[in-house]
This record gives sequence, structure tokens and C-alpha cells, in this order.
Amino acid sequence: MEDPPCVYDRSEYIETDTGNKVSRYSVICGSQNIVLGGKTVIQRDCMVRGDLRRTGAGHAVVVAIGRYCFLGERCVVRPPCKTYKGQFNYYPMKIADHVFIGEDSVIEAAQIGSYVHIGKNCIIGRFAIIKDCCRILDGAVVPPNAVIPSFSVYGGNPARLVDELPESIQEVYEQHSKEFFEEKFVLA
Amino acid sequence: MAATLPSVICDDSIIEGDIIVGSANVVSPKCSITVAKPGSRIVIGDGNVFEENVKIVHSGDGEMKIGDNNIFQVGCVFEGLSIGSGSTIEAGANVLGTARIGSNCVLGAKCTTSTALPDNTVVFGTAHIRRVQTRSNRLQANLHARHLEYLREVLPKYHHMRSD
Amino acid sequence: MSLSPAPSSTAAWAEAARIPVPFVYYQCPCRNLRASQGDVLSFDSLTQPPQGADILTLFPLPRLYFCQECARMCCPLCVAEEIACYYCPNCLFEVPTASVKAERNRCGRNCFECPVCENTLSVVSMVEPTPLAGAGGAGPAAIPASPGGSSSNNTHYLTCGACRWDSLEVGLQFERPTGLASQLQPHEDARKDAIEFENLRQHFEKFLKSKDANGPTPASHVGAGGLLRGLSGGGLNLPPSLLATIPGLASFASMSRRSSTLRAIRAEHKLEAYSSSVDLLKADDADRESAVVLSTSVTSLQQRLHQPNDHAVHKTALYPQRIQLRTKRSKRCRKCDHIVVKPEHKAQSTRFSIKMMASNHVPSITLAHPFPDKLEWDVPVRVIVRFTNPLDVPIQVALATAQSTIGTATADRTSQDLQNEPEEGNCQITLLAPNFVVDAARDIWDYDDDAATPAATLPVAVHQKARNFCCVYVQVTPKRPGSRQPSSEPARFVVETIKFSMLVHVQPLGHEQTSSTEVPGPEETAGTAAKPDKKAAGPLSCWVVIGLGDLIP
Repeated sequence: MEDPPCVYDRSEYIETDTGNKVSRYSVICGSQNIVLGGKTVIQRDCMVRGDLRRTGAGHAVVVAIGRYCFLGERCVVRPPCKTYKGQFNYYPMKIADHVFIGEDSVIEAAQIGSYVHIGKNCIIGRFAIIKDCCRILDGAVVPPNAVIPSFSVYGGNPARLVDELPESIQEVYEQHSKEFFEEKFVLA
Repeated sequence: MAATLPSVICDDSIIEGDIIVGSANVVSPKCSITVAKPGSRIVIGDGNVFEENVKIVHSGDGEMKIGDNNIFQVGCVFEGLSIGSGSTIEAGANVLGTARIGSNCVLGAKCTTSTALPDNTVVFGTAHIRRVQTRSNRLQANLHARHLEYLREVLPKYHHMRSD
Repeated sequence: MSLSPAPSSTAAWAEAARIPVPFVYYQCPCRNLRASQGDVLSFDSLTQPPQGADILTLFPLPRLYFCQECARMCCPLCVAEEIACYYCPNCLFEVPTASVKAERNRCGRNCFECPVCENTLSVVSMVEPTPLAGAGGAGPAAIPASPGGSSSNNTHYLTCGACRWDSLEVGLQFERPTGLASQLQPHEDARKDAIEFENLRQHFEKFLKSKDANGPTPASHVGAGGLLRGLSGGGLNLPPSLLATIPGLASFASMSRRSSTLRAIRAEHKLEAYSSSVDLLKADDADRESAVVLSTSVTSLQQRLHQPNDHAVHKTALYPQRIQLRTKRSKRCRKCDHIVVKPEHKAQSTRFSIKMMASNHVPSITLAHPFPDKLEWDVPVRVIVRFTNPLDVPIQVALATAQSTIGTATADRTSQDLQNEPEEGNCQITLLAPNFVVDAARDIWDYDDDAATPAATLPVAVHQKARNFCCVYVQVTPKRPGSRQPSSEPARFVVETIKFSMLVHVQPLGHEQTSSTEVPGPEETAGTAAKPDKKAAGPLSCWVVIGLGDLIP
């Protein structure tokens, strides 16, 4: 069944010139270190921690999010941290295009590929790498340093391989995110 | 950590009630530490890290004691009685009721407990498997010390700090 | 796609076998085609709607493939799969097919999984204690640091992020942070069954060498080549393909041709009695007897089954396993053997050289909004079904349901008849728009913004028609199955899914025929011949099961 149209209030969302729609009630820390690809929706009460950056001078991109992404309500996107060669640091996080992140999820992955669908209430551990075309089921807990290969469905706590995705899933997710942005996300 | 370093508390966090905060703690934005009943209080030790969306609620009587060098990860809820030192409450975990968490424990992501956890216990998975861990706490202690250092340095640059 | 963990009771199994509502699932024609009817997928061959256990042959549209040669859909059950490449799911490195057998389908690099929680292990090194500069605190005896520290004088071990297990619990340490598999190799060779296998092999080799000394020995067959001849001479006619699967003997498979000419070897020497130097079974029993007492240190059944080679009874014997390889598969249509899906050989690439999916040839059917919020028995609701046309020609869609296609039921049905006839559905369907035309799909920029056909000119019961889709009404009345026979089913399901089957017949129209404002009348059969086209897309029929919701009977 198709998703119902998601109605939002014009006053609630800030629209940037690249077409991103960011809710005023979301918490974006360190916005100068966050890059949004365009046509991305960040819903209310989301938290994106762009302030946890690598120590060091210069401009650093901490969180890079691609196009047509969707960050559901109350989700938390923060970069992962570890001690490497005696030095503690937060590392940049890259989220590619067409990524759907469900409500209440906590994402601390190092890298999320394109066409990924992350369900509600998920916890993606530190330095996890999620390749293209994956699906993380609702309530899954992906442990730290996990690698989720393409075309897999992971679920459970701790997350295990549950199913494989069909080959056409890229078109399915692409159409889903484009359709959402163009048609379903409408002004009240 | 030296005992005289002040705690770093972000302005966005909610701290209400009679709470005694030790030194060198880090409280992230959107965190909330509240005491429900006026007579009771929370005592927090040194060097704890409270990440965002953490809820520490003390709704009972008496004192809730939080030890040293614990880390409360994103979105966890702590409503228990006490927690020792060096423990980790992972993302989305819940500590309810009259739970007492020991030292060097790990309560895994999205796990819930309302009973006591003895020292050095690890709880993980949907089935809440318990096992005893031996040496990994050393890894974590080192990481924790440096984490604290980092947060104390970086957080004030991006957030308003509370002075009390 | 049922994706929940293993259910715990019969009712839970019944629950897990149901497709989550609401759904639109297609039935692949492989279910109905029989050899006698040939390969023609005509309207007449599809008279039986899906029923009962056919639920296992229903798939959502993304899962279906399309074979262009046969012009029919294929489902995951009727495609033949071949392995295109092997790769490790952790390091994502491709493993050449030759090494796959040598490494026993596991990753040969540093990828290990935790014996407790089956997650990936990461390598951590413990450095020698050095004074922590600037921290001022006295460090513990050995300060763990992340990999990357100087690796001299370090012990490296594996640790799990989920359950905090580390390999020091089983006493496993490494000298270098890389090449862990090779460091673990001596341990794997020291396993009891590996030792036993080696002993057996040497024993047989010795015996066969001595036999060879008597029999004719061509110069080319030396050493272990005799093993092969001896095996075939001793009555064990191992075909070369079987020999190829035994590691160590694979190279001798090619020699079998020559050995067949030398079957004149008589088994003169008797095989000596083999006494095992490693007592496998007794050791296991002793372990188990002692383990019964100490129940906390015993591995769980799932942990044991996950490592069948190790016979690990005690938790201290639970070694980390290497990670199993995964495969990329290419799929072929079983009828014509043409490749339907062919992935690229690179393990990290998600592209496909050939990808023929049904969603590019078969109209996509979805339940559109507004959707009725609740279903009640005997209350008719209108459901809007949207047909989206993926082809670049307009299509004519004809719908039929089970109630209108199947012959009338007579009063004196025997139980035999009942088995052959489709079972009664649990809702009454009225197709308000049995015939309509859906326009061709064009590029996004070819569409005007408000080019939707205005409502006044829409044919009856068509809700909306724009771009390349068309929404039609279907009236559904859930009906209590009172006339159904008393259930011989063992379990009574708690909820009943309101679902109905619909036969969809799609006829592509030629390029010149654009969609008319009138729906072609029922007397125009759906078999109108389309103008011949270069890529002549033929007519297509399939049963579609649409599930709306659950109701408690």
C-alpha cells in the first residue's frame, strides 16, 4: 500500500536553496560542519551533532548527508569516536543518497551507502559500515564495527542477516524517496 | 582526572531538583536529570558522560547514587537506585524500578533491567543474555578518560554552558 | 517477505506465514503452466486463482523477474541460480573460486565472528605499559590501545563489540595484527578431527603405495596417483567429480580417465587394521560427563550447532570462527536458459550487467489512498487500486475475479469436486471498472503539470487517470464464510485476512492508439491484435492477490 501524504506546516520547515527541508524543531548542532545534499527532509526533534568534529584546524565536514534523504522524527545522527594511535577523535560520517532513517533511531555509523532503508527504533553502532541497497528492520541493533554488505536485510538484537533484497530494490527505494519528496510531503 | 575540574553542562539540558554533581562530568544537550519528589536527591560522582536524550529520573525516596566514570549513551533511561563506577549504559537501554547496577557493567543496547546487576556483568541481546566480562573494562577506562578530555574541550565551543 | 525471528508456538508460526496486510502480491505463472499445455501463456491456462498453499508462490512485484524470450514472469522459485562470485561479507574482498574450496567457504583474511553472539570481532592490541604523558595517572599493568600502535612486543587479541567477549578468555593471542588466519592455522590443524583425517590419509597412502609396488606402475603415475587407482581397484568407484570435492585429492580427478584402463589390479594385500592415535569419541564423552556438573561453563546448543567442527562443550573451548563467505548469484529462466539477472563480478559493486525485472514489463498494482480505515463484515467498502504502466506503449487492462470466471457451483458437490474447485473467498468483489486503458510511460519532463484527465471525462468507476497510471474502484464486501465446510484445519487462526484474487490481463496497444476517452465496451475482447511492433510486447495475464486487512471472524 502506498504511504499516506505527509502534511506539514509551512512555518515549521525551513527550506534551503538546494531544496532541503529542515524542521525548526530539530536540533542541529554545529550546522557549519553539516552538508546536506539537497531535497533532504529532516523532521522535528531530530538531532544532528555536527559539533563533534575532529580536533584540528580548518573546516571539516563532520556529517555529510546525500540527496533525497529522510530523517524521521526524534532520530539522532552523531559521528563515531574512537582512540587511534593514542589519540581520541570523532570521525566524519557519510550518508549517501536516498537513505530513509526511521523514527527514534540512533545512527553512529561511519558510512551509510545509497538506497538504504533504516527502520524505526534502530541503533546503528559505532563505525558500522552499511553498503548500498540494504534494509535494517525496525528495532534492530547493529553492533559496533559491523559491516553490512549490499542487498541484505538485517534485523534483531544483535543484528543478523535475515533476508536478501531483490535486485530491483534500488529502483524501488529510489522511486519511494523521490515520490515522497515530490508528491507526498505536502504543505498544509 | 583531577578532582577540581568543573563539570561541563550544556545549557539545553534539563537539570531539576536537588542534585549534587561531582567534578569533571559532561552533560550533553537535550539530556535531562530530574528529581520528582522534593525530599530526595541524586548524587553524581566524577567523570561521568551523559549523552543526548538521556533521562535520569529519580521518582522515589532517598538518594540515587551515580558513581564515577560511567557513560550513559544516547537515549537511555535510568530510573534505578544506584550505579557503580566505570559502567556503560548503552543506547536505548532502560534501567527501571529498584535496579542496582554494579561497577564495570555493560547494559547493552535496548536492554531493560529492573533487577540488580552484579559487578562485571554484561547484558546484551533481545534475550538479555548475561555474562561476565574480564578485561575489556581496561580498554574502556582508557577510552573514557580521553573521551572526557575531548568533550570538555569541544562542547563549550558549540554550546552555551551552564555555570552552576 | 516474512522477516521476523523464529516463532515460538504453532499460532505464532501461523502468524508468521501470513503476509502482512495490506498487500498486493502476484502469482508467477510457473504455478499453473503444465508441460502438456506447452509454453504458451494464454488466458485460458490461467483459470485457477491462487488458493490455500499457493500463498507460497505469491510474491510482491520487486521480487519477480521477466524473461523476454519467453515473454513471461519468473519468480524466485522458478529461476535457476548460479554462483557468480564469492565474497566475504565483512571485508568485502572477492575470493577467487579456486580458493573457496581451499578455505572451506570461509574468509581467509582477518575476519572472525564471535562465538557468543555471532558478530564480527575487531582486533585490539595491548601495548607494553608506558607512562601516559600528561595524564598524570598511574596506568594499569597493560594499557589497551587501538590497532595502529607499534606492533613490536604487543599481544593482539580479538574483541566483540556486542557482548564484550574477547579471545583472551579462550587464551587466544596473536603476534601481529594482520594475517590472523595464518596465525590461527596451526591451531586449526591441531584439532582432533583434522589430526584424525591426516592419520587416516597417511595410513591409506602407505597401504596403497605398498600395493603399487606389486602392480604395474606406469611412470606417470607415481606416489599418490596410485591412491586413485587403488581406490577404483578396491571397489570404490569414485567418479572424478566426487574426488574433486575432497580437498587434497582434487588434482587426481583428472587422472581417472587413465586409471580406468588399468583395472586389473587385484586387492592382494589386506588393509592393515587402523588404530586411531587420536581418540575422538571417548574424549567427547569424558568432556560431557564432567560438563553436566558445571552447567555455567557449558556452551549453549545454538553455540554448539554454529560450530559443528569444534565439538565445543566448555565455554573455554569456544574458538572464534572465520566468517562464512556470501555469494552473488546470477539467475536464468528455466525454460529457455536465458540469463535474467547477471551481477557484476566485482564484489563491492551493486550494478548488474543484465537485469530483467518484472517491474519494467508488468504494470505495478498498488492500493492507493484514501484507504478505508476499517473493515467490517458485510459492510461494503471501496478500495482504490492504482495501475501504473511501465511500458512505452499504452496498455489495455482487463480485470476479472474468481467469482466471475469460475463456473457456478452446484448443490450436489461431492467432496472430490470440492478439492478441485477453488475455495470460497471471504469477501465479495465487484469490479466497477473491468476494462480500462492506461497511458504509456514517458520521461518526467514530457508531462505537463496538470495534465490529469479531468474528472468529468473519466469513464465510470475510474477514480483518477494521469501520466502513466490509472486508479479504479473495486467494491469489497467482507462476507462471513458461513457456507464453508466445517474446518478440517488443525489450527483455528485468530484473525482472518480479507483478501481476494484478481485476474489481470494486460494487452499492450500499438503506438498509434492513444487512450480514448471511452472505455472499450465489453464486447471488444481483450485479445485485439496489436499493431506489430519492433519490440512486440505480447499480452500478459496473471493472478494477483490483494489483501486488505484482518478481521476477527
